[in-house]
Amino acid sequence: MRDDDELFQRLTEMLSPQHEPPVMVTELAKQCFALRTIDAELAELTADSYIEGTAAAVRRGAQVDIPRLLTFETPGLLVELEVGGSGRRRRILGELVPTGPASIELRQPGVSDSGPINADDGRFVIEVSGSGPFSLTCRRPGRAAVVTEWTSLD
Amino acid sequence: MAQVRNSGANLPAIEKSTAPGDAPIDDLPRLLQAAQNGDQSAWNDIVDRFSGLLWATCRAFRLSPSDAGDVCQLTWLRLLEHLDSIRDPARLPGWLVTTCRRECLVLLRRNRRQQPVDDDRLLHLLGSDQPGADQAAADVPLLIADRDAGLWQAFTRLSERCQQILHLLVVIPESGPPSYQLAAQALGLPTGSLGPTRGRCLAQLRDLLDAEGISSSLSDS
Repeated sequence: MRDDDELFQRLTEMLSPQHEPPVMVTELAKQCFALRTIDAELAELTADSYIEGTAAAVRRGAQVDIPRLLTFETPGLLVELEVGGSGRRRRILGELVPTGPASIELRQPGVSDSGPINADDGRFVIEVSGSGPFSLTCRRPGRAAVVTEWTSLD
Repeated sequence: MAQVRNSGANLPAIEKSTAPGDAPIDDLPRLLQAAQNGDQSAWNDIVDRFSGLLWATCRAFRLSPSDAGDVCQLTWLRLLEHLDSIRDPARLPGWLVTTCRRECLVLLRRNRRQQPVDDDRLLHLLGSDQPGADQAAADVPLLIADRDAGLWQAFTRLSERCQQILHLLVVIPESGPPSYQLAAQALGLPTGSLGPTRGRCLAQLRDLLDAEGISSSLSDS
């Protein structure tokens, strides 16, 4: 209908400018290309207590203090994480299943690599500053690297 | 996000997540292949092309600019994770909005985690009779022209669903069915319902304008 087209055109002129994403958002998206990993196996997030455990947390009335539990999986590896702290200071306690020697690297957009952390018995602790998405790279001798799916720290 | 999915680098998610019939976009196949081969400038072009679409999807869900920025970034990181598994470039826009929508819902659910709700209820919570609507109504475009003030007023009185749909349709560049398809994917609605709904929303908007004595025609502006 012609009237519809005219009205829609006016809407477009009015609404379009507010749909321009901020330059910073576009710039960050471009920069994240450097975070691409090749030949790594992706461990998908299969459990997140922030999403599943909400009712229990509320009943206990202290959900802020309850660490977040995350599980990432590939067919050959389970990565269990407990994320504690808040704001810009977090601590990630991790465990690999099956256990075994590994080195762990933390990746965050806009944060320089802090170097690998040894997880001799499959357990590790990582201090995290900043918020936003994170991913861990797990390297085990004789196996393909595993990266955890990008997940928001918040 | 919570369900168990198959893992591995060659997820079939790209193939599954979109309906057939997206119009191919000119040089997208070349850009995608170059990006897959590690070409930063091709990636930049893809980001430039679809950032507006992702931003609009986030804003249609009434995310704050800060949350919208987070969701956009996460969506691009997801694309990076799955870049090599995309076989059909024409499906990239649909994959992006579907992924973006899912991240919007995850963020909303997390923000409201003291009150667990399913997706439909979330959409209802975003409705115009909720406290959040005041904030939404106050979200006036900064550089609104005088002649648009009445239109803006009327627009903010539309149902949340109508506002979401019109917001998305104005920003999706293609005309015709593909834009309906993308908007429907972004909102999780059946594609077939969008054309008729757009008509009803525009009719409502016209009624609101008429009630205010504001012309809905372009001819006087």
